[in-house]
Amino acid sequence: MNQIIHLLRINLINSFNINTLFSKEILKKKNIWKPLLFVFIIVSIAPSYYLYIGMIENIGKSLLMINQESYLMVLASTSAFMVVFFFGIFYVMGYYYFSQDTNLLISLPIKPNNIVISKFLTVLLYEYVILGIFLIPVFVVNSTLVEGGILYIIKSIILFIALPIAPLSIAAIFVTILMKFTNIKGRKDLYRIVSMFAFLFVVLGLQIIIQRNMMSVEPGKEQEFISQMFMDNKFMLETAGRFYPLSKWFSLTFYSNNWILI
Amino acid sequence: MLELKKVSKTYSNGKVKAVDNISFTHKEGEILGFLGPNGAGKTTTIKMIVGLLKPDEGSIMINGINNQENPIEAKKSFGYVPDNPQVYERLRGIEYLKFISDVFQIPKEEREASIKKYSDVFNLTHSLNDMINSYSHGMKQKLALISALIHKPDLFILDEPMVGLDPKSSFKLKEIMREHCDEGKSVFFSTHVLEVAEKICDRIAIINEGKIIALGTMEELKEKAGKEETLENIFLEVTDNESNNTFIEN
Repeated sequence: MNQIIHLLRINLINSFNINTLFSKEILKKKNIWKPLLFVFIIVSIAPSYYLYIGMIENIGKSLLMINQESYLMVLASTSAFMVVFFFGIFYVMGYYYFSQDTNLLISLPIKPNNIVISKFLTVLLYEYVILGIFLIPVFVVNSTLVEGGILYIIKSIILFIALPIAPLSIAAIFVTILMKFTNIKGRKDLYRIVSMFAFLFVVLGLQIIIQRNMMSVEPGKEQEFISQMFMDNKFMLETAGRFYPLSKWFSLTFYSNNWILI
Repeated sequence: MLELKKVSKTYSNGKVKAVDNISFTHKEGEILGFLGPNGAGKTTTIKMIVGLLKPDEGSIMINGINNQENPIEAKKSFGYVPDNPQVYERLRGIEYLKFISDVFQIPKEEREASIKKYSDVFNLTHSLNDMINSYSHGMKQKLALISALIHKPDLFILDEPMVGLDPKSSFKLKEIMREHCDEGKSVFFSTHVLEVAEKICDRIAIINEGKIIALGTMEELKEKAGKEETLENIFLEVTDNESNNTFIEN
């Protein structure tokens, strides 16, 4: 456990460049452009982020009007899983296979499991940063829809922590298999990059097909579909859940008081 | 201390034999220089010893511990400096050394004393609070040397340690290597600087095309060569394939 903590600590300092962030050097005249650039980027992104929050609010209100507010979390969690998975593939590849510290760590008396776990936790922390930007507004908007209290906040924190673990693990397994089967002499890096992009395009294509067919209504059954929507406030959640079981469980947790489910 | 038995390593699905059935023993209190032309198999051998590569055949014992069967225990007994040290660029020098100390579970007082001793020797004390990415190649090399010595290893393994070091630091390193052996510990290092090998090594091993073609003290090598020669001449002679056969016959 101690080894994991030591490894995680240096990984975080190195990966997030913490020494530079909290260094007095950054306020010196020659380096002042760095914090200024950071402020400029934040200011540039702020209007888009404001629009993003507005969009979530509108989706939430629209879903509430058709009695399907629970579907908001399905949409958010499905998107979050995809974001984690896509970024995860690049992070896992970078941290496990193209990282310069691997040779150093292998020559030290550190258990291989601890190296793997510490790298996974570092990647996970990266994912939390991205997810925080993406999901926190969704949690806040959703809390107004479901009138969430303390329990809602606790559930949100637990789900936020748990959410990236499964897609990141799938990404890690995928990368491991990819690296094993593309370990071909000659242009192995090229094979790996091409295979990775091919896979991502396949996943993206499947997503588009699923999204198109998920809520399609057979001709003549429109009336039935609409009445079911108003009768059952988890109708869309259940329909989408057939394709995205993880998102279904994630969303159901918000509407359940069953701690075992949580 | 270090014992290699019939160790082999191939690359490209067995087509390229990098190390071919080598065996030697490195005794306590001895500096063993490992010489050879580029691509002879020096770095591959060192990487197998430190656990970065797995031998296809043979066994490597460090302090009586098989490095394949019990790698963690084997790694506790050596300090390793690679030919091109990769250290965490965004850490401060002192943070890196503390991390290495934590990995080897060195008590705080001992750690501080070791860091002070070696950073003074290599003139790095004033730069320890700077970020590693501001270091020159030589300073990174010094940091790697300090980190390998910090836990007072029984076996000190260095791959081309003199590259990038200024003359004063090279001199200090040679002194440290000798002191290390005088304490009953061992030093195993590869180098292209034959004068250094000739001066400080107790024994010399020469590897060529993956095979150990000469091993012994300077006197033994001269005796085998059959005449009073410098290490440079012996090296050129044994690594030249035609003369190599005559040398091995001797």
